[in-house]
Amino acid sequence: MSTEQGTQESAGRIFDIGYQRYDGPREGRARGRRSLLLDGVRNGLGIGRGGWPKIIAWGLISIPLLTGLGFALAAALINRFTESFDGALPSHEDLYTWTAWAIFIFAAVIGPELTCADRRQRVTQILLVRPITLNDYLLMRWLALVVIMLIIALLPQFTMWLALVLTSQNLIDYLREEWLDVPRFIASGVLLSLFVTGLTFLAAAATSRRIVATLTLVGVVFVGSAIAVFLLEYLTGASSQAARLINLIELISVSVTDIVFGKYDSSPDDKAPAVVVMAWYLVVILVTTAGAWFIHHRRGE
Amino acid sequence: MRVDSSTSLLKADNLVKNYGDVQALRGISFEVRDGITGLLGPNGAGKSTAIRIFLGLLNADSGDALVLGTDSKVPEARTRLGYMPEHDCLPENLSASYILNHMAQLSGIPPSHSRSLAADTLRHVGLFEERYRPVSTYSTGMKQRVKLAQALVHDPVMVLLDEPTAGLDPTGREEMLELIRKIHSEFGVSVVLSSHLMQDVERTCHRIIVLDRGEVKRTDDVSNLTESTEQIFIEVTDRRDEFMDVLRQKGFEPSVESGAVVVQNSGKVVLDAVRDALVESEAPLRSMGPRHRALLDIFRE
Repeated sequence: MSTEQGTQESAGRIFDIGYQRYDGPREGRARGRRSLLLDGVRNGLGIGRGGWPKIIAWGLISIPLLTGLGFALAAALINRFTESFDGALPSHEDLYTWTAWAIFIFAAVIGPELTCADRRQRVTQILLVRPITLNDYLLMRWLALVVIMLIIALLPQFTMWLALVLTSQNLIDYLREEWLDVPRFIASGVLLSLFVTGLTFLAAAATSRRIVATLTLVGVVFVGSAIAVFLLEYLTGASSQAARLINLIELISVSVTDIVFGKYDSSPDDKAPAVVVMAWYLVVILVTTAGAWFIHHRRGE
Repeated sequence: MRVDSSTSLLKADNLVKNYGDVQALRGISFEVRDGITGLLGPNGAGKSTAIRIFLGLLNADSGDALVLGTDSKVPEARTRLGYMPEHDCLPENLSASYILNHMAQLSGIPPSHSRSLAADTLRHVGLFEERYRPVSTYSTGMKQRVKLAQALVHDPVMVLLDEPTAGLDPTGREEMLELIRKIHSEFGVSVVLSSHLMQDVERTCHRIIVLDRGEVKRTDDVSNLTESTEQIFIEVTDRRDEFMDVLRQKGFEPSVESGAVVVQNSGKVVLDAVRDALVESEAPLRSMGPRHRALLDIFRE
């Protein structure tokens, strides 16, 4: 069709080509597992989930992150403006002591929703009829929470480490003398992440209501710790050492970090040897994680 | 991939499943081939148990369940299988687009293809414009369509639909049945339709498998079961009694069923006599034709 200016206009036509069979690649279970992991991480961080999930997730994440930034700033200022400042320089283990509770609260509030929502809304009915197994599903949901916890645990630590490195009086000397800090805070972060993930998974396996799982988790940890503190008033020796092991708040925020950083002092009568504390920590990780797996399999989803 | 009509898509071979003392499946055997197959039976007949075994969600106590020639316990057997559950199963806070994209990837489709497959599938079920809205804002009919779409998004060879018209109004029900017919005729995807609504099965399916108390009671083509009877079904809008009198004068024994006149035998001589009786009695004809048996009649027998 020609126009007044003599140019050609093409007449557009839309054809419905109907249903097209898919003959592209199919990547099987491996793709399914990766998709589950990515979905779990997105879910935990509130990505693509509307306003409130984002606000809750990032509000809780901001606590350890801002604490880490505060520590980094304090360390940087002290490093930059003082010649020698023995003892009071904020350390990586101090940062864990201050942020471990916030990391635990994040796990308790956000973690259960990774599996509770799927059961509550019966989404597992359409997930587990894909070429994945219940073990794939549980493993990827568990891994997603571990990844999120690692991000929250390690990001403030790396921020602080970077601040300490960049503001040190002598960068090479600092790296040579303090190089062990990095593997230590990574190891502590991994242990902390596995510990809170195990607890969260067990609480989430027992109910499909997030609020119930969260309150149970917080209740068990805080009530257990309060009982431990009460018992320590009356017990001595091995009994007091055992009582101290149920103080999960202390276990999460102080004991294991101190052991990893070589600062653990077991000389007081009521403190168990480091090897016992570490063994207990690993037992709790294994028992809670295995317990969650057992409950999911027993229910058959 | 459109399968050959002789290929067995699902095969149950002497399947047995007990729940404690309750025998859910008592050694059932059947095959499902290309087409739309109805799985009929009352509550407790074993339909859901059989479907769950084919989907790999349950293990049979004995016998074999094959999906496209592969043992249903192998996760990869479900790569080309789709499932639409009866009950709600959609994450409420996510969009249909996100859900389908995720489900396609869970079935092994790489992300580079899953997004376009999700959009195409939602277009085919009539939800293209609403695909970015959260599922919680959808009507019941729209949710049913998303449930159907998630079963189709990975381009399966076969879909298992569990009560797909549940909760729909008459218009929504008609649209869903039309969509199911289209899934086979246009998409080339075979369908197993599990339903207790015989009208749905009769109008949609090519073949039915009737289960009752864990046993296969009957397996046949719907056309064989509802074949023409040796009767003529005549509807007149007026003067029915006069019409029946004339028929009696001609030696027939007419009866009344659902307001219409039924005459035994349907040969040419009878048809000519009925035509003459209509003219003589001056009864206005509304419809006339061979009477088909309904599935309901067969079940009553």
